[in-house]
Amino acid sequence: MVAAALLILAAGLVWRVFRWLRRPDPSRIVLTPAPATRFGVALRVAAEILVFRSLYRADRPCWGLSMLLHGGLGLILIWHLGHFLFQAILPLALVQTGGAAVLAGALGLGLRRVAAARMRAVSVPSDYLHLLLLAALAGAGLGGLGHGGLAALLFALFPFSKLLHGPAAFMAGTRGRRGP
Amino acid sequence: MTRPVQASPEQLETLGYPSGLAPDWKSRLVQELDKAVRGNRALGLFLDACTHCGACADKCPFFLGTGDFGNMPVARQDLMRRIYRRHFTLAGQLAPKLVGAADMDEGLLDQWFSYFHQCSQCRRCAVFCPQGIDTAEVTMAARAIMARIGLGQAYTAQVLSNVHRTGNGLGMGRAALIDTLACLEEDMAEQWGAPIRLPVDQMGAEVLLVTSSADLYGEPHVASLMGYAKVFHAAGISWTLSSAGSEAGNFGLFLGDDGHMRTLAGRIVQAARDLGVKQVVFGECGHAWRVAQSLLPELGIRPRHMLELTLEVLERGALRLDPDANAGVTATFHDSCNMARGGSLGNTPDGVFAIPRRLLAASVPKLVEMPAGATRGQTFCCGGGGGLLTDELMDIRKAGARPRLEALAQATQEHAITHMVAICAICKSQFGSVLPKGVVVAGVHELLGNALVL
Repeated sequence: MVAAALLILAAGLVWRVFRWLRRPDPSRIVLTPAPATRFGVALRVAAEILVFRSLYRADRPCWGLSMLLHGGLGLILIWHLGHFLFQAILPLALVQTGGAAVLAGALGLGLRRVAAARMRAVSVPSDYLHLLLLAALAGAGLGGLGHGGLAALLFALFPFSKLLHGPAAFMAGTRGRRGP
Repeated sequence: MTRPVQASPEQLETLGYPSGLAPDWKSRLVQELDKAVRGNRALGLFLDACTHCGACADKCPFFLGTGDFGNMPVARQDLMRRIYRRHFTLAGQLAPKLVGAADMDEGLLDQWFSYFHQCSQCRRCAVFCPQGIDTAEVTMAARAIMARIGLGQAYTAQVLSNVHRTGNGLGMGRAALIDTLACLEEDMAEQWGAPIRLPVDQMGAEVLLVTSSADLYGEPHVASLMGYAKVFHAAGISWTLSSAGSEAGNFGLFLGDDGHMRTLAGRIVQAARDLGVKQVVFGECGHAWRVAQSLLPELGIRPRHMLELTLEVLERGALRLDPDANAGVTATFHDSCNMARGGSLGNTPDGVFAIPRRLLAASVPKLVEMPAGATRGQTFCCGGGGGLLTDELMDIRKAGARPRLEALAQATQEHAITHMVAICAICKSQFGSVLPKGVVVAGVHELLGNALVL
């Protein structure tokens, strides 16, 4: 089941990214001041992907919770890849820390979403459900329970949901182009 | 609900749009949305990538000024995203309520017409979005879609058809243009005691100056036009205006209509060819510069900005500036959004901030800054850009201006600011309507012109 879901994830991602790339890109939307060199652009995008630079400037509490969530996901990904692909014996503490971070991050972001009126105003049911899924997945993992089903759900959903914000952040022309 | 005056059927037809909503407008809207998404990679990306994190919310001057949740950039985008998800995503088709997908109806169209005209396309939201989503792109696309199903804004439609007809947004014909310029030449002779000219349609001149038509008659805009003329005079550069290409402004940008935008830009290219000039130089107009830099190179013209030209002339010693001519002026510079977030000046990424300030510092006795976070890349919109500069939208303009005016007030507590300086015609007009007593708006070339000793 997980394998099938991973297939959907891989194929879905390729399809979505390819569909974006296939479309013409007439807009000249680079956000200035923008770097003049390709290297500078790469740094700008890397700053977003690695440390969520714009979010840091925009909303410090959200940034903290988001780093917690994504950092945790990163640790979990590394551990699972190591475990399943390379039969590596990585310390359990790695994935447990990741799980705790995801749980804390997801719950924190969920609380943030319900606490502020303006957040409630823009939130739709799926926004809450995404966080619930992540929290449940992390919780199940931490509790030593079987979480293949939930993982499969996450993978299968990915290409059809806002989780695409990951690949999209790499592709946005506002930061990914050189300046005029 | 705040809304702009609707374009008349005639105005829409003149621009090649349907004259009104057809009975099947809802499905036409969905078709136009489909075309817009297929034709613009960024639009689809932005509609897909939003996580509803709300980081953009308190960054928009119109949300800050109105407190209306509908003005949060994410909420503005969602007006389109709802329809997009409903028709073009799996989740939206299978479980619309889950993902906030909805069908188009009259109420939603009203909201589109209202909220997409409460956005000045200033892009401040994009600076803070983790995904780099630019709400201005959504606003432009929404206005284009509405126009293509027969719902447009009168102001933008009028300005566009004026340019198509006469070459400038005022609808000023050649004879009137020449008369106006003759009067300004008399003013300059009186003011500066020198025969400074404002040439029109001069074949073989080195420079074609293209500026906002507001520079031809508006206050204080004309003072900048006189400043450009004085710089050309002092530097001994032959230049000309063009009656056929007398508008730098390009409302095709605000309307998100590539066709109109290219046609208008094409007029400038044609004028440059017809007059046989070597350079095309743009005056103090914000969005004009953004369009110039992004569109003209592929049409064969490498545009220059008047500020770049003036800086070069200053640096080679051909201009003598005496700040005492502006005695009593304490100036602060307002970074206009299309310059700050949509353009560049000089050879460095921060030239768009440094060059105007450099020229100003050489022209006035005192130059001060507004608080960080309100200037440069994070500058607050004047509140009047993106096609909002009409009387019926004055309330929303005042609201949008509030964050900028609050930043100005903070700076005024420390320094007795007398002048807010801008290099955008729309900013100058907007500030003329919203600045508090004691502060006036001025152009860089206005103050530089005063300081320039012949």
